[in-house]
Amino acid sequence: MTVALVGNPNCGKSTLFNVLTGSRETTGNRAGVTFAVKESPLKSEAVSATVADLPGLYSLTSDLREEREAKKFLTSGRVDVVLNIIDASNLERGLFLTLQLLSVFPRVIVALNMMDEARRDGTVIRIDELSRELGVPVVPISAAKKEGIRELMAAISHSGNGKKPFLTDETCAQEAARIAGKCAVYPPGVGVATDRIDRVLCRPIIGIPLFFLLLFFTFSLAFSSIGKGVQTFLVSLTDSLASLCIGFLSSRGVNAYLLYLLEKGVFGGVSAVLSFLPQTVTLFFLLELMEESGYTARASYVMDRVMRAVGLSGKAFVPVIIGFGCTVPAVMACETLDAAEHKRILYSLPFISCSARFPVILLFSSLFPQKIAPFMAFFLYFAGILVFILSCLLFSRKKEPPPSVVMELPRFRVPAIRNVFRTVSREILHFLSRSGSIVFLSSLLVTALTTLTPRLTHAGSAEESLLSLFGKILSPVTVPLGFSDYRLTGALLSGFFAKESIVAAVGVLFENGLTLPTPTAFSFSLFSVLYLPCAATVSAWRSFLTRKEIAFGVFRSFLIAYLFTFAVSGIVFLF
Amino acid sequence: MQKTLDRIQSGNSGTVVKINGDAYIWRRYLSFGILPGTVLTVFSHTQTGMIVKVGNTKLAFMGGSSENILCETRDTERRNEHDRSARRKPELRKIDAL
Ligand SMILES: Nc1nc2c(ncn2[C@@H]2O[C@H](COP(=O)(O)OP(=O)(O)OP(=O)(O)O)[C@@H](O)[C@H]2O)c(=O)[nH]1
Ligand SMILES: [Mg+2]
Repeated sequence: MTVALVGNPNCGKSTLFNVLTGSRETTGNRAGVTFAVKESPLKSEAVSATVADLPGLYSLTSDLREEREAKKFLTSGRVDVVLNIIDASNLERGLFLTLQLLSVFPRVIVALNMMDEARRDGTVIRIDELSRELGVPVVPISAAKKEGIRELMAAISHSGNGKKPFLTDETCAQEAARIAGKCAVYPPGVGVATDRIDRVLCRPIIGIPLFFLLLFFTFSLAFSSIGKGVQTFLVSLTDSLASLCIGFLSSRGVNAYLLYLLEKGVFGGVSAVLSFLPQTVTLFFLLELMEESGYTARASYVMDRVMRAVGLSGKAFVPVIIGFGCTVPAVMACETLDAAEHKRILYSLPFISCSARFPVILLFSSLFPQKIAPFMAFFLYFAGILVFILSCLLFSRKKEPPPSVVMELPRFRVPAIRNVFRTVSREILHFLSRSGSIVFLSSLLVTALTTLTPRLTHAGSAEESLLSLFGKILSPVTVPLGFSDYRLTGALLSGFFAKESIVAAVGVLFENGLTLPTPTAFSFSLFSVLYLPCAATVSAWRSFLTRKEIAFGVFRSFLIAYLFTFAVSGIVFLF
Repeated sequence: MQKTLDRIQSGNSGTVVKINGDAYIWRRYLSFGILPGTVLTVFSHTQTGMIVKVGNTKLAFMGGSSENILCETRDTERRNEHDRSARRKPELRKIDAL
């Protein structure tokens, strides 16, 4: 049996999905967080079912791009039970979709979510009356507080209502208003707190500086001494773990070359990346607070004018914010945007400094004189925004003007701690698994390339190695930027797999510690945070772009990063 | 008086009379609960666009999207203006009462 979670955007479908299945899907206080159908088995011994979390749906008759996936699933013939979730604070609009669902599906159950909030507001909803009007079970729940879940499970196993007659949009709207008016009493003053905050936050003069202040705060906190303290602890932990492991393996007579690969590649490279976990956690924690509170949608609204100046709508600012965490979900979030904006935003998003660039920025900023190091870190971080703007401006505004959009501003909520920790812990797991897979393999590859000759024999010196050969081939390209060391070009190669691999590669290649002249450190670090979208981003592009467009996008990124680094480094060196 | 949504002042309401545009646009607004007869209350205007309340939903209109919606405003504008002046000047309200 397949149970589909259907409801308006932001009514709590994914929160309920996580409760019902024990999954860790992304939630957030804005419309359009889920953009693809996710399926998982129901966590119940009594009922055997698969639960599907669908992207939000306003109505079955509208033709919004972001609703297509949900409609495709609903019409696939796989849905046995529709679990229609309605936000109790917005009954009328929720019922519009419910009435449409009732005319199409024979088994519908209504879950009235956010009842905790409704209770707090003093809203009265006559559940029995509502159930009678609709002719289906209505279960009051709070997905965030895990209330009413048992009753909901019981309702899933006993549902069956038969289809209702089809209603036109107008009749549906009238009927929804009638039922909501009959069954719900909202006290005056619901949402007053949100209104008060909005009066301040939604003014561009306050909202725009506030956004950059928040970003700066996040940046400073992640780069603060607290993060560094934990980082030092992690480094010493992985170091002692490494010597313990290597000691054990060598006592067991493991091949010396394998041991070398392991010591350099795994412990030298992977642990260098792992040590940046505290900064990554801080960043994701603060981004998640923005998402869960409802701030993201406001930031998009206040940034609309700024975004329009670069040819995008304010809605496109959502992927930009997500992009500060990771470019891949940011690219996927473009699903909710107008197709006219796609190329401009997709080609420009990879320039935004994602969390994987934190380690690179931190490592290289430590090479600058102490006085200017924080300023350099700040510059490297925000250079991404500058180049993002530049990249957007390279598109013609006349050919594809930014679309006019309507966006829902959700109610402000105190972030649900469970949701925040679920998302942050998922990101930590993701970071650890990337370190254990992509970074691990790429640093192993880099180590192998430094120890093997082009004929795949053991290299007597680094000069004879394959990596050195690659470096020599690439040096005409990198010399104008001010670096030709094969170890640096080698690190750039590995960065394509994952940006943090650059740190791992540098850890492997600079055995005696990384020291570079300031100009080289500047141009290399700037180029390495900008130069190419990582492999995962390129793969995410495939949902939107053709192969040719992807190839062009990669080349374009490289060229823009190259010219920007060349120009900025040139200016900096002149002074 | 009929005017497009973007021309209604903050704090005032209007009843939707007509949605200009093709079926796609019509359905798009319908998704947000906006159709002829719906009462919209303007929450605020900013340089970026405007925020409008439809029942308990708050919507941000950006990039001229509010120009497609034609509203009937006369009564509500007047009443709101009256309410506002009454709120601001309680002494005048007292005089009215006398
Ligand atoms: N107070 C309260 N908040 C809830 C409840 N359920 C969900 N939320 C919050 O509502 C917001 C939206 O939840 P999601 O689960 O992401 O909603 P969704 O329906 O999946 O949203 P889309 O994927 O964008 O359509 C989040 O901030 C949740 O923390 C609830 O029962 N009570
Ligand atoms: Mg969701």
